[in-house]
Amino acid sequence: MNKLILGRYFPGGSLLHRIDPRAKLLAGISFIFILFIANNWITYLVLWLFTFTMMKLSGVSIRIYLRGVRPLIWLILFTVSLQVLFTAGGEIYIDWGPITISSFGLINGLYIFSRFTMIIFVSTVVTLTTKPIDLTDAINYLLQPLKRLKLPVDEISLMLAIALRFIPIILDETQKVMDAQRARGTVFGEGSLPQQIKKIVPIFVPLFVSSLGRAEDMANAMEVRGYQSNNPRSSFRRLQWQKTDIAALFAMVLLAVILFILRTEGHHFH
Amino acid sequence: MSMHCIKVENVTFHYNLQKQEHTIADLSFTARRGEWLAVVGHNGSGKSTLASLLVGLRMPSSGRIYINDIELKEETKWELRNQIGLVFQNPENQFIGTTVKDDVAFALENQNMPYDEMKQRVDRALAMVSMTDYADYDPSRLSGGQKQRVAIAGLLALHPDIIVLDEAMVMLDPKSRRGFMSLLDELRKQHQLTIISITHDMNEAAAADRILVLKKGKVMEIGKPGQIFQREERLDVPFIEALRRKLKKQGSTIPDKYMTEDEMVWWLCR
Repeated sequence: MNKLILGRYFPGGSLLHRIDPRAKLLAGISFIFILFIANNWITYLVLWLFTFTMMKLSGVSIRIYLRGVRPLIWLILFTVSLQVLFTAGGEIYIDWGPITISSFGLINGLYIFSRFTMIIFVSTVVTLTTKPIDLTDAINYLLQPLKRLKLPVDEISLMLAIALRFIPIILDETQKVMDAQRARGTVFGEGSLPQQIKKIVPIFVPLFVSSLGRAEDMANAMEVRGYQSNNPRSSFRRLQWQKTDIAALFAMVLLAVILFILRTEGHHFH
Repeated sequence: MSMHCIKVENVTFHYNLQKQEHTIADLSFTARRGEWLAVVGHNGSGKSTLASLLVGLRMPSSGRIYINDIELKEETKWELRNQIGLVFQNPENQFIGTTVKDDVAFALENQNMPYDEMKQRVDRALAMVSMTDYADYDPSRLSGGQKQRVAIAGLLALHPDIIVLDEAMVMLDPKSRRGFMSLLDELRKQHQLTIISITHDMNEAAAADRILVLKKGKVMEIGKPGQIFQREERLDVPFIEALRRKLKKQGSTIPDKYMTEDEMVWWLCR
């Protein structure tokens, strides 16, 4: 489980750590849209420069970011190879009927690869530099307008916050149950696939039972401490919007403008 | 305000409506303001059910409970929850906040309290339990004793009159148990808190002002620890009382009455 990088927080004091989570979340989401402005090598170069600057600013080592890409590498390579093999145009190097390897295909493949990895890198920058609970607060804040549509925004974000708090506890518990099974002679990670799946069942059953128990305890604790859904609640955690946050959003606008200027007009590539 | 902070009148409760068996049967007792009342009894004697009745998590089938002269009912329970708090056995499942101070603030947020007042109350509550240095810690990373201190701080922030401990010291080691008990005693004296401590640890019960012995949902006996332990032959007794009985059996001239630890030390060293 330690291999999962996306969604983990690395404590630190970098500039990015200090930016308001709302600004970071907005910037991260806008980056995904900005990506689609790019359509030539110079715009992609600008984006790569931006991405690397952000990674550098976060103060987290490159190796951690690469680990974040690893679980998705096969999906990325699959998509890229489809692009390479089925795009025609430009100089054609190999031609096997519908399957061609052309210069356009190669370039398009490279662009797709860049988009994927940059999205992963930038979203990892956001999650690595923001505490999960701050992200929840940011989501809560940004979803506030949906309250008009009778969406229980505060309840959803409290649910998210509690879920986040229980992740490490449940992981610890999984470890304990697995150790208990090991002590009785179960060997995990061996045998055929159906055999391995069978071994998982005795882990999940006790885990579900204890999770339900925990949920009940927690519901009782919340009720005793006066929690009523639909009641207005004040918030002890406060987000403070500062100049750096405006600067951060401005940087995103600037990036978009630069890309618009450098982008090739017309549709040279798809 | 009358002297009785808690008044339980002929309370009956059963989980299973089809069975005639009562978990709590015609239970009546009172607790004075500033009193420490220990509730002891074997497993299944209805101790924990009593705790959930006192804080309004369950409503009695018949009979009444008064908290500060207000009857505990569906309509009044939310208002009364500012006056009575419950500490659970497993500290892990009662935390909602991701940091210690967030968790202490949870009940205050539920009151929709303005930030400045919350801040002041949280700081004060943490200082009362000497946990100020841990304000930004993740509660799940604390030791058992520290967790229960935080749980107490979460209640104290509400300025309650009554604290109910539902086997809250079971998971503590002897040293932190002693520390926790002296903390509670101090808080009780300073703030006129009433403490109802549900336990099956006789050493813990011996420190109370009065002990209520619960058997099959009925009050078997209620009185000062000295009387209870002397009379109740079947009850497990605190270590000091066990030692006294043993010495007596061996033919020692030790007085035939219940002794506190200090009295025993004095008698042995005299």
